[in-house]
Amino acid sequence: MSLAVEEREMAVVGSGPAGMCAALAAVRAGADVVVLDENERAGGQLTKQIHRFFGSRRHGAGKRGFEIAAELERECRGEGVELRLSSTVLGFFPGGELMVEGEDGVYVLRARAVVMATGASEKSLAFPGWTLPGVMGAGAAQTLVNLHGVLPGRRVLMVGTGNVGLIVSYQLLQAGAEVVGILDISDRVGGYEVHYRRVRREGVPFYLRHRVVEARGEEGVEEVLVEEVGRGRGRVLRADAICLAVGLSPLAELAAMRGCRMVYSRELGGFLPWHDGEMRTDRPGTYVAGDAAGVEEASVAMEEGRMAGISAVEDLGRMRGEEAERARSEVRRFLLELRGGPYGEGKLRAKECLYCA
Amino acid sequence: MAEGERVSGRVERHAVIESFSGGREVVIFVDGAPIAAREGEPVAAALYGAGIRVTRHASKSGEPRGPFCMIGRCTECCMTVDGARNVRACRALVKEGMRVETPGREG
Amino acid sequence: MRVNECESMQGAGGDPWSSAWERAARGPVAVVDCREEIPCNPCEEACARGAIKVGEDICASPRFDPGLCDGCGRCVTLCPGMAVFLLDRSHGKGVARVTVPYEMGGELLEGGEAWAMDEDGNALGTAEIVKVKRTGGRTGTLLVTVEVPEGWALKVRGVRDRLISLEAPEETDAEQRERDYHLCRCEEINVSDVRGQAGWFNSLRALRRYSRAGLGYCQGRFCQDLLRRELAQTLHAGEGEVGAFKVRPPVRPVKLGRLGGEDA
Repeated sequence: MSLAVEEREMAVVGSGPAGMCAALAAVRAGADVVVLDENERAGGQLTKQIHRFFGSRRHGAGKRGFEIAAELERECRGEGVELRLSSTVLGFFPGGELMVEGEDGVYVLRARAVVMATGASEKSLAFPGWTLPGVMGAGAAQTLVNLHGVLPGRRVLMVGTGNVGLIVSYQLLQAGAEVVGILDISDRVGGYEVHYRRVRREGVPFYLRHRVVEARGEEGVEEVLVEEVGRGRGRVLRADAICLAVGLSPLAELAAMRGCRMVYSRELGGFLPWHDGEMRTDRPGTYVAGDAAGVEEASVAMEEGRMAGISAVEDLGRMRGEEAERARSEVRRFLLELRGGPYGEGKLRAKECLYCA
Repeated sequence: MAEGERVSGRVERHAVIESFSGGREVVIFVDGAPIAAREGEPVAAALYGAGIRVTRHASKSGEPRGPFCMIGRCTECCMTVDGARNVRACRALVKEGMRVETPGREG
Repeated sequence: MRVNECESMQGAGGDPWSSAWERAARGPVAVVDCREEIPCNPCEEACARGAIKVGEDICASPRFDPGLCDGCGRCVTLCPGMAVFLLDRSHGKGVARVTVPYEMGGELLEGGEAWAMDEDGNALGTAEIVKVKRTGGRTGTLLVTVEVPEGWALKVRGVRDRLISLEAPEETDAEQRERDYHLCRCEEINVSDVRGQAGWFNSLRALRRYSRAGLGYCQGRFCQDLLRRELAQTLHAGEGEVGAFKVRPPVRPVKLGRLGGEDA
């Protein structure tokens, strides 16, 4: 079998905030850039985020996620980035070639620089009954409700009090579902306090120090037995959906296939390709940015994308070293700012650990 | 569940979102029965919108399974779509008159 | 009542809201209820009069000067945490008007009623909706103003068109027989299989080879994290130590024919 081969200067896998920012940084330095994404629309997870974002103006703070996605897409198209949607990258080979399934078939794309901005995937939680229909990832529920206007259930139990669990709970309420509870094994809420209070004041009960014992039902979830840890008494909640918001892990299969050195970081969500502070992996012409390089916020993903784009165009010979360094030091400053505060500290430490590993 | 109460369904009002993925309303057939769907939305979303949560049955135990990830990874929504087997219903988009079969459903 | 504990421009001593409270006697004023250091500053940009300051370090808590605030409500709209509201005590008669951001689907109409909710989700009671202002087009935030007894003025944090109907969950003895469950959904490999055989393997790859966990439809894309966690726990090892499945192309399912050049 012989596949058509396309030669490009630079390819970005993933059109989320990291990917589009990488492409923008590169195209502004004169590079030829194609962005590949398996979805029909650009923006990655931003497309289903309907809450206003934190951060500063540079990161679209105060705007809703889908609005930020639309703006980045407009900028990309305006600057001449080729956004190739409905195009799934199936493989990334040690020689640096990408195998892509597009609308017209499978082909090979050979680029001198490749940025992997593939994002993250949801972690899961297993318990008796978790295979019943109605149990799903919180991200899946968010996709159903915000992109397709379909409720995952009328009465939903959310598992996990991190930002994802809190935000998706709020969005389920916005769509008209009832959230019968938000449960966490921990005795404290994991996400931002403002997200917690937004949900709390709507009247949603929180079950902290609780675990799911089992989900019950015939053709789908009908009720859930939960238990306070160590107390030995359970409660039966009537619910027709259970959403699991128990963390994200970097989606780094392509990096592993490319032969990048993989490292494990609990703080950053799991296995990810080793990279330096300039988003270079240990393979030539191969960069990583955003959640694929460790799970953090969208604003961080944007800055990491810019960083990767700058490093790529420097290595491609389109930007002089000093100029690249100037651009990078600005990005570094923003990254430091975003990783400030009590929430960013752990991520900052984990990243610094990684750069030196 | 109370008799006849639907566990899922369509969002009726939304304060922040103007439009959802699907286009005009069409009819598709699930195990032979017609349901309303919107053209261009994922089949799995159309099923949920019609209150159908089961997309396949596990091959050994026969337990019901439903969409879990909605991004094409978990493969729990693999159905037979217009005769093609193992199609992920969260990735396949609705076309008018589409015929969808639930694998492993007895009878 | 817990309040904004940041250093405040509202002067030392007493309740940092006291000056906002006084100011509210003359008309609407913002109450910035931001209690946590998160990287965020749209409130600063929202305020044309410079009443809210975050400064260079965007993780710093906002400082608010009620003297400069004219109660326009832009910060109420733009705060991503929905942590700002307006307080207005200028209508006398022992009532206060509170304006909160609203992004739910309920139909709230001027002259109608809404439930006034406190910060813990308790309904304080119903309140008359005196104003509904739409900001920023169809997908904008509504600013809903309700009139409440003055005693509720600092308690109201939200409004709802209806209350979530929660029945008290049935209490039961949790002493349940531990049921087995699948870790690998496709091949239906149970947690007991992994625990029972874990002694034979020291890596995720070995587990996959011998148990078939991760070899089904999803090719381990989905169950890998769960299998890793369970194996690591059983072996008392770190999750990093038990490794990862070898990744082979394709990383997404593709019809074999298409690899051979077939069109969709």
